[in-house]
Amino acid sequence: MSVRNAENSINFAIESILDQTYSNFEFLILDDYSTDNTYKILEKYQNIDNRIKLFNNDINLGLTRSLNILIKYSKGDFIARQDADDYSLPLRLEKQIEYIEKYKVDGCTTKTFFKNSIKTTPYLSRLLNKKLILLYKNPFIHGTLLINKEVLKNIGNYDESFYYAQDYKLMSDLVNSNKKVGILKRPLYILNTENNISTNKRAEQAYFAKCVQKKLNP
Amino acid sequence: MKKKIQRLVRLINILFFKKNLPEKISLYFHDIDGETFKSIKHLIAIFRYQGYKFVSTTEFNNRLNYNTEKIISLSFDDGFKTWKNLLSFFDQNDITVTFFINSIIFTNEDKSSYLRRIGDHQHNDIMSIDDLQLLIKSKHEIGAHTHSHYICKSLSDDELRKEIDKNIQIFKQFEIEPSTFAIPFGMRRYIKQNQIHILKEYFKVICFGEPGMQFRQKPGLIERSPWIVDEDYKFNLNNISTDTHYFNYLFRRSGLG
Repeated sequence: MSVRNAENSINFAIESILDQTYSNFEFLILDDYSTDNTYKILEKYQNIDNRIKLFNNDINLGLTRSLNILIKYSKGDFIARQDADDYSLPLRLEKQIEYIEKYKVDGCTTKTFFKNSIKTTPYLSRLLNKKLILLYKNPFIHGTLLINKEVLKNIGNYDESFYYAQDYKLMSDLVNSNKKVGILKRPLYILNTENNISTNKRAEQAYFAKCVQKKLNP
Repeated sequence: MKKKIQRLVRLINILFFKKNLPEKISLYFHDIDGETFKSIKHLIAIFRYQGYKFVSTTEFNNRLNYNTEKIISLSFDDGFKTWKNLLSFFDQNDITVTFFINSIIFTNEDKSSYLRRIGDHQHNDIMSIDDLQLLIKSKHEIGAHTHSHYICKSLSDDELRKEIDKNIQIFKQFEIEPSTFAIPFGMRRYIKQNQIHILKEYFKVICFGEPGMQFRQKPGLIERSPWIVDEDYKFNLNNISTDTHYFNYLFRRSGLG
């Protein structure tokens, strides 16, 4: 998890991971040069749970580069994402690992609830051909991604030329390299869409998303 | 067959009557085993993340008309010794709940039929007077639940009054003055309309317990929904966000099974 200025939501995100029914993980958190109390909160959690490994950037590097740093530091065979303003339901990791083992896929995401709503996403796009749907939109919820680390490494991790829409680019790279990535039908995550990078930087997101669709460098 | 019909009815109700996440949610539990405790912890975290505050039943009732405020009341019915395991967690998390207790528990009366009525429990599952003292010392609310947990409808008006009077009398010995009441077995079909009026003579708040009614909260008449521990968040979310009151009133059964 990479985090920047999330003092109001970070405790929920962290506790949702620490409370997972699947507990055999290291929880790497990188503070991307927060200017609020985020780092202090992270230090508090690091002191109470030794699965948390805390890192920080000396300058603001952005999500894409921060995630690649975390992948480099990670020791496990699988990488699971979590966003700092979202919430993972308790069975999330357990069900995703079960899914990967059962269907022999390289990775998976899950359906999610929207925060303060009963609505879920993705809807029909979950069922369509992934290569086809990725030409128009990204049906994968980035915060729910669980993926084989070796597979990530093979496609070169996140493409750092994508400051925004790095998740769209990653999923596009994975699917176009014929990696198998599924979407669990069961919603196991709560997605916050208020005041985050996807809603506050809509134009930038749209431009970078277009670059993915047209296979251009931004 | 019965289960298949229930599933079909549930599906149809969810399809046509699912609304959104209500701002006022009242949930109830009974005995608290390890899994239920975990489930309560998770639901508290999930709803706090979504901006809900946890309040007692009385506070919930008082704040029903605060339109945009998101509140949840948690309550616990009957009187189990496992409840004391929750107290330190609630304390640490600054959460106030309501315990609706039958008073037969604190008497020397034969409890075998009572234990059957509350779900084939053993004598050592129910709380002791020491456990009750712990609840009294805590900041939580204690509400009445009749003396011995009969289906209200099966009682005459006089018998119901006796059940209430006895409940209140025994609580008085512990300096408890309940202003809230939960109907045994929860559902409307287990109580007659005039009995609700009788209960209103004694208590400010009467609580029901059936899924599909969260959008029908009224001051003085609180609709609670059970949180099903064996089911996932989505199942429980459907229970609280689907408004099946037409079905419930028409068929005297919950439209969500």
